[in-house]
Amino acid sequence: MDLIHPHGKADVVEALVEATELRRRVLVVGGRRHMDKGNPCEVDAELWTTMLDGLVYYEPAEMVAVVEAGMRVSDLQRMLAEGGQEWPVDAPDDATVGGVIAAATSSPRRLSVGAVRDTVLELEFVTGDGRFLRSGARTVKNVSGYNMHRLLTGSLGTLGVIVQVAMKLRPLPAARRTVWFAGGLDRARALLDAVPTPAAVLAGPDVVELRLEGWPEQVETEARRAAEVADPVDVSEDAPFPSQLPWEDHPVVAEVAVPPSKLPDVLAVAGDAWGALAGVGLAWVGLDSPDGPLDVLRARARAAGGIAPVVKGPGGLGADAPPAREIHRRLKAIFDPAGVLAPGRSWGGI
Amino acid sequence: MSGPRGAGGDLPLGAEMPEGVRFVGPVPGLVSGWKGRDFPADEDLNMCVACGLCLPHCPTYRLTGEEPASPRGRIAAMRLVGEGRAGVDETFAHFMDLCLTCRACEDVCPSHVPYGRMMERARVQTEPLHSRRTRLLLWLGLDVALPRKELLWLAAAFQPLATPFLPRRVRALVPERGELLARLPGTTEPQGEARGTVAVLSGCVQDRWYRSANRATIRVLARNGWRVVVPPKQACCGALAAHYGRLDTAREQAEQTIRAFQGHDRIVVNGAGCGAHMKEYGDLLGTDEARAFSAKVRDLMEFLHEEGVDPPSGGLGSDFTTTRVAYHDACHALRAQGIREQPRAILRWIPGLELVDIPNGDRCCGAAGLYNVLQPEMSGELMRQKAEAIASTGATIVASANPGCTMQISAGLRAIGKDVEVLHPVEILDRAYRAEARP
Amino acid sequence: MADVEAARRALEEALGPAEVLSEPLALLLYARDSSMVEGGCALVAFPRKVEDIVACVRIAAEHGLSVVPRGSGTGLAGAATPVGEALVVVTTKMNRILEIRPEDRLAWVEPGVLNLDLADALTPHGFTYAPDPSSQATCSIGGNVTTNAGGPHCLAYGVTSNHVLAVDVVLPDGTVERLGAEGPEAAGYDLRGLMVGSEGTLGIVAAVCVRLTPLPQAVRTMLLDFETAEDCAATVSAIIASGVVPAAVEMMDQGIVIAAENFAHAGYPTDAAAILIVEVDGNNATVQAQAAVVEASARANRVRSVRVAADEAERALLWKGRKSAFGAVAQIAPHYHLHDCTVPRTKLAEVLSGIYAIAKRHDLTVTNVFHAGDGNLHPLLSFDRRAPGTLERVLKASEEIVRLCVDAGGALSGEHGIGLEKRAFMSLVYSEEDLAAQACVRAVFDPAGLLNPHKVLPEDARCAELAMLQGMDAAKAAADMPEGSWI
Repeated sequence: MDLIHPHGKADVVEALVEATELRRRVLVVGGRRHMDKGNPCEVDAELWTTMLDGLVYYEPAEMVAVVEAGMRVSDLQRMLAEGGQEWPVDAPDDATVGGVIAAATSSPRRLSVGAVRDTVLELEFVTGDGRFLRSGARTVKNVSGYNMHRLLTGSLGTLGVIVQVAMKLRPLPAARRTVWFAGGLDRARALLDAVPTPAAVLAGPDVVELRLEGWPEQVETEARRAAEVADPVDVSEDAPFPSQLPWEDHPVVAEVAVPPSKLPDVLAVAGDAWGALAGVGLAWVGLDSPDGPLDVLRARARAAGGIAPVVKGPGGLGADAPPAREIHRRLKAIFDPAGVLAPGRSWGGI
Repeated sequence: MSGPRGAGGDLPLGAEMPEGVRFVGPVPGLVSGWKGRDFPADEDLNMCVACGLCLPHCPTYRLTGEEPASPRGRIAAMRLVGEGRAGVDETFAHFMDLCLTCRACEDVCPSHVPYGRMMERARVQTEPLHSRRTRLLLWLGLDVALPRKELLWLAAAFQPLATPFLPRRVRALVPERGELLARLPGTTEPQGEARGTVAVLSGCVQDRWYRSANRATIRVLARNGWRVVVPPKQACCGALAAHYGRLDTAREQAEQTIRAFQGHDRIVVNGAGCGAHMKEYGDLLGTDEARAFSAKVRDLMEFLHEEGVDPPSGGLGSDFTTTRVAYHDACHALRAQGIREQPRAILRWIPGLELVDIPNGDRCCGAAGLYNVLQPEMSGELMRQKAEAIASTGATIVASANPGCTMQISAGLRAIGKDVEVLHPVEILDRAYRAEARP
Repeated sequence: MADVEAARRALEEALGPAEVLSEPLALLLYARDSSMVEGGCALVAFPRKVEDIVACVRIAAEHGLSVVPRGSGTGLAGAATPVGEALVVVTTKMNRILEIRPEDRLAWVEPGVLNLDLADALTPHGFTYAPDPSSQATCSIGGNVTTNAGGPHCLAYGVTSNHVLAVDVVLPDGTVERLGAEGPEAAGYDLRGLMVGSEGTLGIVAAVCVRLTPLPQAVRTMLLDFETAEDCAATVSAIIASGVVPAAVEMMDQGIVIAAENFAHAGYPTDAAAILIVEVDGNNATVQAQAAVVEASARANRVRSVRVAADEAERALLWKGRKSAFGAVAQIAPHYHLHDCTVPRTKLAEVLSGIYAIAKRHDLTVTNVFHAGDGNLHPLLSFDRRAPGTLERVLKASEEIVRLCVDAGGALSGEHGIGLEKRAFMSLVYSEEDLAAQACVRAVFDPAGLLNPHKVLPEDARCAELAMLQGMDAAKAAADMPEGSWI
């Protein structure tokens, strides 16, 4: 396996021009934290982004940061915390910014912070054949041309190598609290009805973790309203969220995404190592193998109008073909004419 | 536009457009398509920036979703004619005809575009395009009959005979019979000391077919200390003629009305369409005399609210049970005169009366002068919607201060089989006063 | 050469004669939207269901017409201005709210549903639809999707893209696809994210799945007035720097305040150099805390007065003035040219004074109303088109304003889109290669250039792979079976 380790953007360009010429298949690697998401694909080389880790621009008053894609999430968050802000993605510390965006996995606080894609304002990226492109703008509102940065987000490195990101930030909450309750998804939904804008309501088979963030008075009020629904089992102001991830103990973890009301249906075949976000429709399910139960889970998710890609361990994305398959193929063709960027990794084997 | 572009070049960036695209504005060298002296004025037309905020308030746009049936579209059509890029043809006439002139758009227009005035002028332009039959009927109705009380009397007299021959949709609208005998008293003295004298408009259609409203008007005014005069030489105020492109007739009628009311300082009108029009005599005639006259005109409910009324001690029924009354705002009260709270305030003083608003209450009922005759489909749909909205309130009485609306709403309620009484708000007040007299 | 007559007959047969307009005067009324540019069209059609849209696309392609989708026609950049031989496909008659599902926090609507009608329909369920453009009483959800519309409340809640879960679109080849999903994630590339903001050039929206936002428990709306625009802009920065993200922060300068007050009678102080409307929401406790911070920031920057709306009626009145500003500006002069650049918040005051200087230099009146919270400016140049030479001055001033904003690190358009009017400026922010790649993205969807040509990309942006894509398209057509079509 060859290793490509560019120092800067120009190196990336050169590497991909060459890869296209030589038909050398390349896998983009950042912090190696999201490698399992995607269909299995064969490559000839890894391109490491970790040396592209510079800060380009950060002004707290703008709530925008511009960094190179190889910067580690922990370095970024530390710098933003000094400005009283965060990039609300809750990714592992050593993941890279580019990796988080290319994988577009979800934060457990998805209910309040939204999806990764909604934080990506501008991307600089290099196509499979070495074209250096920019899409978006460094302002929180922008409608100028086609949103190629939307295509790149979640594209698992199959359309281009992200080299620089402008992301939208939010203020760090002034107060945080986690409250635990007994119960499962039903309890979680009751809590969500009582507290309409918590940071998260994470349900397990028999415990619910309610995460509150915001102004101290707000957190106080919301905690009180939650306590009217059920008696809290425990409370903490400094526990990390989530505090327990039972699904992580398993070799295979699938990230189910269905309309929230369909969660019970899908979780009925999810075993007992799962965590589900009430009001969002996301659930992480720990399984022991990539066949059998995973297939059943995927069938249920599909019937509910959703998906269940694996984010840890083997299992790929699932057999679901993406909509507008022809469009997908053509987009791949224009961004990666020689098909050198992780061919086959994305949905539908693209 | 062509040539080098960009900073320092001949043309600014953003000036060059593909072929067939231009920046909005008049095309040089074209001549206006208007004829005669009454047409929508350029200054008026140029006040519209096509922002589109009027669209959701226009009943015909809500029903059709089509630009030509919206105020923005109609103004654009007028502008095209004014700029010489289109002519006053049948399509143009059709677009103008579909407008209710309810003036809901004027209310919400941030630029205060005087749409009502523009439409009146546009209708003068389109008048010659109507079918000969329509033109004849309109001429007979608006130029000949309405201004002459004797002819209206004849029409009412022959109504029973003529009714079977009227088209069904007209028959459905017209009330069963008109009053032929008796007249309104020329002068009515108040009870006790007179606060002053008011002159009332008896109206054309109203006096013949809804005279009960006029009688109630006189009684209520007298009850509140006013000497009420019904000037004998008045005829039709000319509103319908103005709305249908007959500004010359309208001007004659305006002058006649002003003469008939000479010497009066308080002129009270109980029909919203009439009152609104009389308040615009200044615009229509352009004379100081007309403007002075218009300043003296008050809507009846507006007048009663301004001057104060004796709260009635009587209720609406002999047993004082709560009567639910739905209030219908005539477009020409609500918009042209800004009358909304006054009649409601007065009705709320009546014991046992529960006043409710009608859902989507500010949407035109579809009467709109002769609209119900000329545009039956659109009018019928609006009539049905209004009737159902009224029925949904559960009210047993609906208050309507305009004879056109009263006719339309009555027909609408009949059509959906709902038994709701349609009364002028002054009739409701009158009932309450009369209930006081009972032991 | 398009066969308009044959197209008309085919459309009348497919949609019904009442749904096709062909009289010259009617066509002229569809020649423009609310921007400054007008074109012309050959036919107008009103689909009532998805199949009708498919028929329009198919018939237009067969007869050589281009297709221009249109909602309420309130666009400000000319994206709905038809050019050449075009069929304007108007979605106003597809105005049903199909379903509201509070348990999934979503609703499905047809593209012709008006933004405010949707919000009103959601209120009894305890929800709202957050993106609230000034034209919300009139603009359609379909139009919102294609322009990635903004609005004052997008500061805290995000733009349209954050609130569109899925769209059913009719693609230029007549197939129908659902992009996105009702759930939080969908399979494949984010084509939904690409479609939102594509200004009617990649597909025609036939149905939209929108995200429902819970109605806040409490709202506080404040009117702050200042003697200088600098103090006003500094207050905005101070608010953000203190960690408060209000639901909305809107700024209006004196000229526009006077016009808006003339219409709305909201009690705006017409002698202030600039005013801010700040709205905070959340639960009662949060609102108190945030409002206190806002007031403190304002007082630290010499605010003259702080007025808090006492009830819903007063709040509505304060917003009425703001939201009618675009129309009210017509009181100043019959025509206006509006810009939509977004600049970094910290550059607001500097850019604003630059704009005043540019207007003065070109002897034009400029007023400003804008979303100060996210730096989205709306300078309005008022003028009378009929006075000779005025248009040229307006366009020159416009170019200078755009360059000023771009140089300050801003974007060409925050919410109105590029449309026709702003294509020429694309090369100020994107490289030739960027624009060529964008052209390729467009060609992927529409190799034949059927949908809304001449919009978004400058005329000379070309996809190098166009021939390849057209070849792929032809091969697919030859293979006959359209993938994903519904009927």
